[in-house]
Amino acid sequence: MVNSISPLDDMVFMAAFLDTLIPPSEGDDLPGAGTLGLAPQVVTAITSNDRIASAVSAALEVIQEQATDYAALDLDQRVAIVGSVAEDHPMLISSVIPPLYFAYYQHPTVLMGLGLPTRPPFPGGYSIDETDPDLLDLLSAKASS
Amino acid sequence: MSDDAVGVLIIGAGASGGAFAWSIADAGMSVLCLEQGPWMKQSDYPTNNLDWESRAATEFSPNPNIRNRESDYPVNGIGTPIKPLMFNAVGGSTILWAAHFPRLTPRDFRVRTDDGVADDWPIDYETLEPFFALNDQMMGVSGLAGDPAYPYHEPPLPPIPFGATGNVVARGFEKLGWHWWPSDSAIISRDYNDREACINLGPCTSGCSHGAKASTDITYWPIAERKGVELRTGCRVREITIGEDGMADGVLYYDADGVLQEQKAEIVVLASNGIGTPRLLLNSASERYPDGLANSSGLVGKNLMFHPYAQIRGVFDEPLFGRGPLGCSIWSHEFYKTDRSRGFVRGYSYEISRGLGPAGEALYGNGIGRIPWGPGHHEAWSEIYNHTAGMVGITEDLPDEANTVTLDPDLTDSNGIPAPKITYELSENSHRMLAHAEERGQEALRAAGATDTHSLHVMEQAGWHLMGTARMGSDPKTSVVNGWGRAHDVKNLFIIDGSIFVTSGGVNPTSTIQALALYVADSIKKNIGNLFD
Repeated sequence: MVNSISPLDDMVFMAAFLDTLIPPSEGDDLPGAGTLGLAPQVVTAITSNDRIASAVSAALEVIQEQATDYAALDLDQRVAIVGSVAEDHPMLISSVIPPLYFAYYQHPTVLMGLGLPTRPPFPGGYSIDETDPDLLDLLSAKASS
Repeated sequence: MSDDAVGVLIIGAGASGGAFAWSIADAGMSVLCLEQGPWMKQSDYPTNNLDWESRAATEFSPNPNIRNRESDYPVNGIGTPIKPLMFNAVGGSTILWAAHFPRLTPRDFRVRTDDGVADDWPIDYETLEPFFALNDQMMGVSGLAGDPAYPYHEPPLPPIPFGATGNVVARGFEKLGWHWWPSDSAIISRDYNDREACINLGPCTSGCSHGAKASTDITYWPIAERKGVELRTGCRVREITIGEDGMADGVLYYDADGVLQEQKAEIVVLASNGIGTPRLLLNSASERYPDGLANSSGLVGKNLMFHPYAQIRGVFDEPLFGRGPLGCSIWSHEFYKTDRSRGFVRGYSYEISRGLGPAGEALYGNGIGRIPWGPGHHEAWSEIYNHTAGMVGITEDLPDEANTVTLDPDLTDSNGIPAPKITYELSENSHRMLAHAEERGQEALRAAGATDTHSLHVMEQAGWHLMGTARMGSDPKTSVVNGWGRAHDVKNLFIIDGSIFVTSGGVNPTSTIQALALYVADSIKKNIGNLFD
């Protein structure tokens, strides 16, 4: 049976696909990307470019053809199918990864799970290591006058 | 509609336009600047929000074709190995720059004499030195006096802390016995002139929300306006107009409402940098100047120089907390001077860069095959994040008349003005230099302790530096402007931006661009009585 909706509009399928690219961490500290609800955000980024949307959609249709209930498969099975399809459709991975990584690694849940601050850089800023004084001593000896 | 004539009309409010406006305001003439972009707000910059990494890559991308703002003009760079980058706003590309602030070295002004290639400049380092120093004060430069790669000069502020990354990489350079020195950076390491010291937000290249990074909208322009300079934003110049005497007599421009306006002026100053300036000169062709304004030499738009960048990064076992000004910690001139045994002429500098944000490191790791999608992703990310340091090799780009800015026959901006088209190829000399920078850069990172190193031969999205397309010189047949920026063909037309560079050196150009702008302004003031002789 041919799916009547585009894979990019099938949020259950897309969530399973994104959970394949970024699965949950072993200790479950970090959720999978699909489970985190990133599919709409990633789809919006993909469909902002017609050429990319067309290529990704075509690849996802092949996945759906190979596994009509892709979301029900276990991770290893989903990985195997995506890897196989990506060999013939290299834009599938290269086009989805950038918006996916941006969405995932900017999400407060992920930042918290990674032990990173869940705030923007400004206004708090960050502290950094001071310059090694031994290095400055070396420069003093080399300085021109 | 015709406005009242002004004494000096500046086109572009970026690095050079801001410095020039501040200086020429003392000349006693009315000064107007037209800028196609808007004033920026620090509260709009990406680092105010959690999604700072994605916004930096899209709406604050340095590539106008990706950013695609109303205030931008498109650039046809199809097929070029390096894409031109810029920003159109008050402050220009200093809004998005990393704020590296090296000067050209004295040798960079005499390339023909020293190495028998390209050309010498009609001026030298010593001529510009007072203006370098003045500009350092105005922008607020941090650094350490005594770099043996330069004549002695004292940055007004102490250097930016190296951070873990700079400390580790400096030890690597030291181990090899290579030159290295704290970078001169237009980022304030201490409170300075009503600006607060850097608090290490990290991504300087999407705008500084704190105002610690210098951009001319917060350095030169507030003072220039207090001196009486008028700055009109949202105004895009279509062409420079010519009077019956062949002199420039003003411009036609589209105002913020898209209405065509005429502005008369006694002196016209181009500050639109290495692509915008030749574009406007070529768009100003007339019956009298059919090949474009100030183009009797045929060199307007030719000799486009970028700095081809090699990128080298390494993964370290030890943690390197990577925040802090993205690019400004230390530099090296170890391979700056010509050594023909290396297989190329001229040379390059290294600049050390800190680590990226969480998403940036994930994308980097994916790109080099270290972070997979699927199982193992999280473990691999943890091995990379806060464990990388990198550098870029900034190679000197020798002038070549085949590398050009021309007018695209079809592409236009939102006002219908023909857009620029870039034709550019890397020379064999550049390829050899880039390969050398890749190899030796990896050697330095390994000496610093990197367990895994990678390099990119030439960075595509790296055409920050736009130079050479209206070069200066003494001979009108082989140059567009004279030694103080005045067009040979049109004696009340001045150019003060990167387009007047004769050669590129192997360092970031903004310090030199601004010193040139201040020098030209000073020359105008000194010669005001016989300016057009």
